[in-house]
Amino acid sequence: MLTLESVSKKYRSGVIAVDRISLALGPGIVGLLGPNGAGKTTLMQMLATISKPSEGRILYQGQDIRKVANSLRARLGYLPQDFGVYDNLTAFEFLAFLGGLKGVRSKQKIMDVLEAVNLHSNVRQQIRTFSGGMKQRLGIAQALVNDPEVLIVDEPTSGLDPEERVRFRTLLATMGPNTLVILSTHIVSDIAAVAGTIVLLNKGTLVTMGVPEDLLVCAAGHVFETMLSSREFHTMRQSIRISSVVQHHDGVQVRYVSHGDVLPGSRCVDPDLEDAYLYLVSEGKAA
Amino acid sequence: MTRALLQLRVLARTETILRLRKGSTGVLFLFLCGSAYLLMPDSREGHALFLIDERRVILNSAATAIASALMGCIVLLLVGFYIVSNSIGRDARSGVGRLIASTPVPSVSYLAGKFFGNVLYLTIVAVGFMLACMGMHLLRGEAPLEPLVYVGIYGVLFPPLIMNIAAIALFFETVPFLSGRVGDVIYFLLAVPLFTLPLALAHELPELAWLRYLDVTGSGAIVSEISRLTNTTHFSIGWSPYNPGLPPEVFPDFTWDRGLLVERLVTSFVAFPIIGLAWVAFQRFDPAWVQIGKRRQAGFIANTLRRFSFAIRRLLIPSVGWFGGPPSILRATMLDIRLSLATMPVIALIALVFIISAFVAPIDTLRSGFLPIMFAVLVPCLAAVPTRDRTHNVLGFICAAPLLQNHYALWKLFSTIGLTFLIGGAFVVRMVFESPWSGWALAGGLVLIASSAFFFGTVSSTPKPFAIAFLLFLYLALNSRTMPGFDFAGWNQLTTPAILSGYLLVSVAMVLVGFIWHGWRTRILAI
Repeated sequence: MLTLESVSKKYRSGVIAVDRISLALGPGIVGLLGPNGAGKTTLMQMLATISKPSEGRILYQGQDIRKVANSLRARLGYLPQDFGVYDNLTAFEFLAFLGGLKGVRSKQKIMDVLEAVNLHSNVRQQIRTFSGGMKQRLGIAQALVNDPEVLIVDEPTSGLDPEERVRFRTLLATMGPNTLVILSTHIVSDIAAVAGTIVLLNKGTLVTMGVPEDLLVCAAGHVFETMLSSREFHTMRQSIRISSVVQHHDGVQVRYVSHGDVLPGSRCVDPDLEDAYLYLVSEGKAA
Repeated sequence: MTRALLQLRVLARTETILRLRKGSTGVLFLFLCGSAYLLMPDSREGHALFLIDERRVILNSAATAIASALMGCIVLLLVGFYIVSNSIGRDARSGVGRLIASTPVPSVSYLAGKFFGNVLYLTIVAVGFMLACMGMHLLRGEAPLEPLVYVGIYGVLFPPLIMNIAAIALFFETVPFLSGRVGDVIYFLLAVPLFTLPLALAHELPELAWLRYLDVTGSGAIVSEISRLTNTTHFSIGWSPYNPGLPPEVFPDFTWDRGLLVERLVTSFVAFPIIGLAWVAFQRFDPAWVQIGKRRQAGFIANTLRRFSFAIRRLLIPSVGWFGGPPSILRATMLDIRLSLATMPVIALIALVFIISAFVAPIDTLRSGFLPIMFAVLVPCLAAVPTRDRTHNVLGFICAAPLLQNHYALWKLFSTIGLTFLIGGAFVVRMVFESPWSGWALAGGLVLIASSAFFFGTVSSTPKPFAIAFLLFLYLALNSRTMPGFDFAGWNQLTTPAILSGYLLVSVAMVLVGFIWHGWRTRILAI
């Protein structure tokens, strides 16, 4: 559905945000993972036609999106990481506005989307009275209002309470079989719950792309757990890549990833996706 | 309805709703009513709206409509740009622009929607002013009200002006350099004379007669129509004293010359090439746009300014230590002034230029040249000081600092006054050396601008109302050099103690209202 051919984004300042990334993305949910500054947001902006690649091209249904930008936009839902709203409109008016720009005429469709994000009881309420989570849900609603074929969402669950996060994940999971969802988040559990494919970026380059199981295989044998005294922990914490820490009365239980050196008394454990992410990102750094 | 029409309708409608729901629209309509009231004086008090050969013109529909429409056009030319020049900027700042950019609305449709939104809102303002004038006609008119006469005159005079202002505002917003407060001042300093210049040139040089098509206010059309209908060129429009010994004049029924109608139509079309320029400059909220936009102007001046800004920021780094110590409003004020210099280093350059000029330039050049320029330049420098914490959403951080939650308004007032005197203080010193009274008058003028910035910024939370109000006042002051009441800073040497006291009273009143408003908002609205 979307194909990236050696796509780069270089700013005039010389910063290379995205460096020669090639990908082929089909229907399904794609999770975009990477540390801060990895180029996720820039990549999503290019996919959403907000920003143009400096080099390479992005194809939608086989055609360069620079030539069919409006055709893609008509089928696109986009939720940027930091978006804004018109505070003195109601939720309904705001959706009617953005829906209108996308060609949506049906009031019922707007109501349905508001219901999907659990804002149906706040339809006539001015957005200025909304909490941060409600504004985030309104952002999600505007991305869904035109029944997109390509849905690009950047940190969609930030500011949502656990119940709303689960609701959103369910919403994504029930999207049509022909929809491509590109989801970027730092909450690895969100991606683990819904993504069929994971794309891992670091420093603007593609580290790996595959199903979650592939990533787990990469990290297998590199994740360990051990018990350390508080003093040992404070001494060692800078030298290991910690995945999780649990404080016990007799010491600190540490879970970490390693490319070689293993702390004495450690035992190898099965990696989860967060471990795999840490392993692959630190592998890139080590390289 | 096609998709393009739907998009246009949605954009223009939302733009209008957003503006109509703002509290400032209510203030604007109060201003329109007040303007209409002041525009049409009671003839029994010795003043008239319209004079022909020193004779008062009877207030019939044609006379009141033509005079009020012309005055309205001039005011709209001055303030209309500021009223509508925030539509694309709002989308960019709020982040809605990125959402819009991902929709299938083509850039040209987006700009057209914004243009029609601007046109619609300015039309509402013009109609509001016309209705206010019709209301005043019912109060002070001397002949029956004929609404169609009003509609006929307003309907010909206003549309070209509205369309051109809407297009220019759009163009300024699409060019990064012109999209901020610098653009506000450039419009005031350059665009307003440019609108009057074509008319003057067309009048003086017959070979440039085509320039009359650029007369967006319609003043040329009105002048020639009045001359044609009254067979004289000795007339004045606006609040003026008349000779009660002469009999009043009856203004004839007004009909537009067909050639002038065509002229007005052509003037309307001038807006379209301007929209074309806006379209070329518009980059559809591309995040790289601002950086690229800045780089594109990287000529000698831009590079020098950038280096200067960099140097100022470097110089300010060690000053962080100067403000250490126990919390105090004075320290906080110095920090806020330092922040103004760090965020807008060009202020330091301006202050430097003014300090040198103050002691080098001849006193007459200072009075007639530098002082008006300084007041115009102060507008963009001061406008952000009382508003930036809200617009950048850092009020929460600031109010968590010692003293500032309870003394926020005082802090902002001190910062505004401090920055004002940093820029203009050298002129005061020079004036005091020349003549102490001139120095006091100038200091009074600086207090007036600082308290205006504080008042408008505190009440509205945006920099625009201050820019509109003060630039309009400055325009009136610059065009009324013989009227002592407008010599608020003593540059015409007409300021009397009574005038200075009056302006100081106005300053104090604005400061008090600002404090009350801030207190009310903090307590009642908890923001």
